[in-house]
Amino acid sequence: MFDVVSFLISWLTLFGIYAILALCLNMEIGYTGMANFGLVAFFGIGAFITAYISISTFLSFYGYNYPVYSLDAIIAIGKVAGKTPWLNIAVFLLSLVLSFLVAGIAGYFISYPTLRVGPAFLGITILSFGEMLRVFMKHFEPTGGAYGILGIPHPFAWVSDPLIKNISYLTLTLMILAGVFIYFELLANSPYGRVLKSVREDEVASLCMGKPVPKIKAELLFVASGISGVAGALYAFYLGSVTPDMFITTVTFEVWSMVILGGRGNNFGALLGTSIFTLLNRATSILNFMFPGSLIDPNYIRWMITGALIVIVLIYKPKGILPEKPIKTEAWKIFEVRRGGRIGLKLIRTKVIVIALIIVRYIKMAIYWLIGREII
Amino acid sequence: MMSELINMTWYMCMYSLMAVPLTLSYRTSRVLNFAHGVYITIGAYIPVLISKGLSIKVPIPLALFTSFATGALLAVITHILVFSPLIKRRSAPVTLMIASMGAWIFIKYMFYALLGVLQKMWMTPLFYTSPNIDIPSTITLVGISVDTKFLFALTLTSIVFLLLTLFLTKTKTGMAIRAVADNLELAQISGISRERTLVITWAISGGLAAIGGLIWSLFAYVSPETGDSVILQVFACSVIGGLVNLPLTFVGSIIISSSENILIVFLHNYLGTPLSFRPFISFFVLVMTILVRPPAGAGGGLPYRYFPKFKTLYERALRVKKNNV
Amino acid sequence: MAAQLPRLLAFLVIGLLIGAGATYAYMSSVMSTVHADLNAKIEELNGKISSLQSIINELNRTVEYKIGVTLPLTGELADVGVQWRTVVEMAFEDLNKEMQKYGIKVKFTPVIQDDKALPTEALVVIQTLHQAGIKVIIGPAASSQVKAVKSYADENKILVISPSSTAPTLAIPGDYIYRTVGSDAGQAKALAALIKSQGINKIIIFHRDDEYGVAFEEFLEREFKALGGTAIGMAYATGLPDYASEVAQLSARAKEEKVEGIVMITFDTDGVNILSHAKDDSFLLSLRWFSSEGVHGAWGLLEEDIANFIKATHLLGTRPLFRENPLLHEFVTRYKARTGHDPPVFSANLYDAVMLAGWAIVRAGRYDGEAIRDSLVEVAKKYYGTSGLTMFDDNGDKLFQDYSIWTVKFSEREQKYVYVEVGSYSAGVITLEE
Repeated sequence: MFDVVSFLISWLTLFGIYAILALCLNMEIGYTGMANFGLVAFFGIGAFITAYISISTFLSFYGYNYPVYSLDAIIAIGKVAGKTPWLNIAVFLLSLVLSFLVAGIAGYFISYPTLRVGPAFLGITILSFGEMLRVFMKHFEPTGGAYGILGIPHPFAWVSDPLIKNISYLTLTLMILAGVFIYFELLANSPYGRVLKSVREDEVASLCMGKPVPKIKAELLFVASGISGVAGALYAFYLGSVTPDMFITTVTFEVWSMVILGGRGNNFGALLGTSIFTLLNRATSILNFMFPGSLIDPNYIRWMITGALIVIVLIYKPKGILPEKPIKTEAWKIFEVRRGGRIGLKLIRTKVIVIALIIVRYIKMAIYWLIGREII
Repeated sequence: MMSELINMTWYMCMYSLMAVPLTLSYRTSRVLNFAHGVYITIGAYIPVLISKGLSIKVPIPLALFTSFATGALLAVITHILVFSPLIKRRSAPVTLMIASMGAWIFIKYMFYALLGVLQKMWMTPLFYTSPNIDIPSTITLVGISVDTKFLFALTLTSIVFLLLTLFLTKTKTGMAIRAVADNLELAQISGISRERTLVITWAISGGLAAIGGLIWSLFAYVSPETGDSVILQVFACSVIGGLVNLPLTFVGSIIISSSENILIVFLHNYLGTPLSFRPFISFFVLVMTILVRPPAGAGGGLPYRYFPKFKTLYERALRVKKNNV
Repeated sequence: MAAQLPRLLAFLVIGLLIGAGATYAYMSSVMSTVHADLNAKIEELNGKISSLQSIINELNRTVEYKIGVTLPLTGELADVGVQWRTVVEMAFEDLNKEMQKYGIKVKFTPVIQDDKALPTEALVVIQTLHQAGIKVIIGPAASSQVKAVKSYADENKILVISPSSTAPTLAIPGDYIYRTVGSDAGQAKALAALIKSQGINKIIIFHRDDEYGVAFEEFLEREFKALGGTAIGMAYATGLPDYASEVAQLSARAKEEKVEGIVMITFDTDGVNILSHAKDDSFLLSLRWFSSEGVHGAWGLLEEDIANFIKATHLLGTRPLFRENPLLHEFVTRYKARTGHDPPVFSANLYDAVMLAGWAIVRAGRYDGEAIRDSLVEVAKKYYGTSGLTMFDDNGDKLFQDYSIWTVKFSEREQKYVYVEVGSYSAGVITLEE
């Protein structure tokens, strides 16, 4: 009786979106030590930018002149959402890029005041900015004010079969998640990652060694906020509607639990924590089916289980489930190979691996050149 | 204007009673306690449950005592079950924070379950309610009729803070708490037991938060979400105090309560800001305060002033002054 | 010859014995075949009886249908959410009793999930319920949640019946969202007419700044202006624990603008909070107050000081209700007997939503979302429930909604304050008994 396929699709799509957020937070707190309590602000910026841009592009393309949040716009979009597939895809890509840019720039600008107040208050400052932005959005008429925006055109709205549409969107989300994961792994397992960890451990010592600590923090905040904006874009398309009241601080604290539980400083740990939480939410609802008329509402027991689980896991594994791994730059990998540790004993095999690593290094240099960063 | 000032004083009493224990607990144990909101809620609910369960008007000493005791007990239990094992394993402050979040979720929904069961048993609505405390509405002092609850709140806050100051400065336990907060190794060398001090600190912290909740229940209705809806403002007050400085936390509560009651009035009357901007204003004031004067000394490093293109005004002024001399 | 008599006798006896034995053996073999035939016939008959029995059992079997319910059991709306749970339990009991009375072999079980009054959580709940095989869901309560679940419901053909979402932007035809509560545009008309009939020409609308409050304020301002009055809107932030400073500001603005009446558009918790602060303000005491349905049913209004404030300001409110509905009175009496207090807002709409869902499933005959939706429209056309006529319009919203005028009065009989209905608004006409 249980629809496993649909369960997997709906669970994995939300898992993908929250996992991207968890990876960003992991980079911020796990590698750089920046306790960002305001993650949901960039999530919301991305979602609102996507909603506004996609609906207004569609409306202007088809020549309608309604405001973005009105009932006429919703009905009009409902009619034309599936007509031109290339427009859906183009709008999707445009929204991703714009969400990344706007959220990233917002993160970069926030780094100015937060660097002034010191690392202890970075979190609460970003949280305050987030809340101020949310209250502001509730009064900002062009994006619907308190109504929010409804009827966001899905990138695959032109697919007639809902199953194929959902699987395609899931694949897209997981591909973006994989891309973000690989990017963050590359970033972390490099000399840049080492610098981030040094900023986390001791800022003053890092400064004394000549690393431009505020610049590094600002850059990381740019990248992590931008990617949170991309997650927001995916979220807006998935839900089909955005309201300012969706982006409250509770969301940030949920993502925090996911990161800390899974393993701080370990990207796989962030993924693991996210999967545990999103699965737990859905799995515990089975209690409602088993005990329909009990005196104590089973819903309360569900949330109690979540809280108890966090405490129990943390008591047995304070650093999270997965431990933090050492930074695996190419030098480290070659060192491991030379040491004859984990990777093979035969000389030819080690030579092949060393050559492969050198090729990977050149690819990384190309990527770095593309993003425009010097190798520190 | 009078009503705004009275409201501001109410809020000041409540916020200070809620924020000072938070600062105290952070300072001593370096745990940013998210379960603080739940202590406030349960402290506010105890007189409600007593008055509804026994159908009596609760006398003030009973209400005070039971609130304080429950808050203290809850905080100590959380410490023993959740924080103590983690501190023994030398976990990072972030881990303790998330563990406190887990404890918060657990206690909060256990309380919801309890309220659900009690509501069914007693057949009276418990999810948004107010206690029946034995206080007359107004008493006449020197000819003017004063709202008793307001007077009670004010007196209670002053007495509590007086006692707290005396406790922390004059008694041995109080000084032990301050010693553990300031320099742990030296305190332990001097023979102060960290575990015992932490237990006492958590008891005081939980109890005071519960008293804050009790004052809230005199002022407005309580629901299981009460503590969590004020927790952000309470954190704001603590942050203004740098999370370690108790008098500054009190100042912070004055700042936040006046911004919520008086500043919004000015903005509404002169700039036409809608009243629904109230949360915006409190956060704005918080951010401005800590930007203008970054609180120093909180665990976690120096406030960062190294910024090649961004010099603070008074540093520039200082340099000018030096050059002029 | 006489000497051979014993020998003859012995031969006779032996012969008889052998004969008897042979006859017996022969007879028993014949009997066994007869037995075998008879047994076979009995087996066959037994087989036929048991298959007939299983057909009868099949016809007599009670089919069990699950209906999902998503309620805000924690969070801002927890107060009403927990009371709505009791309403849902009552509704399912009554529904099953009716099915039994009519001899329909169907049993409905509710599956109640908490959605924390958050949109994302509502989507997760709908997905989980759908994946467990449920195709009819009652709820969610807030409009922002309905918006979040709309695309999933439309795609997977899940019928969603919301008893309390009133956002005007959800009036979209041809989807799977149905609402058993009338749009606030109608209630704004009723409220505007009520205020004008009391002789008040200048009002301040003190409203929540979420979708419900902002939409209501827009409608009310429009209707009141059309009737010749002036209205000023004042929004306050939702989700805050206390509104003392907002009420102080309201008083100051009211004095400045010299208004004659205040209209409050709130939910129950903030409404009680606002009234508890307003009662201490002498200027606000001198004005006339009006309210929407949000605060109706909150027990806080039955407390002595707030009830006195209501009396002093002649507070009148409107709510979607058909006043002279005996079904409603019966429901209220039963709810009071079960829980000890009045039912909260939208209870009648929630009750009817459950009933309509049950009857729609029975009428459809099979548990298929599209079939149930079509039969829901047909069932609603002919159903008269606790909330009156339940017919839907083309957008899936309640078509006919009457409004009743309520206030709080002291009841001599019960020696305490109670909610009373003092009038109604129907087809543009206000009737008040005072």
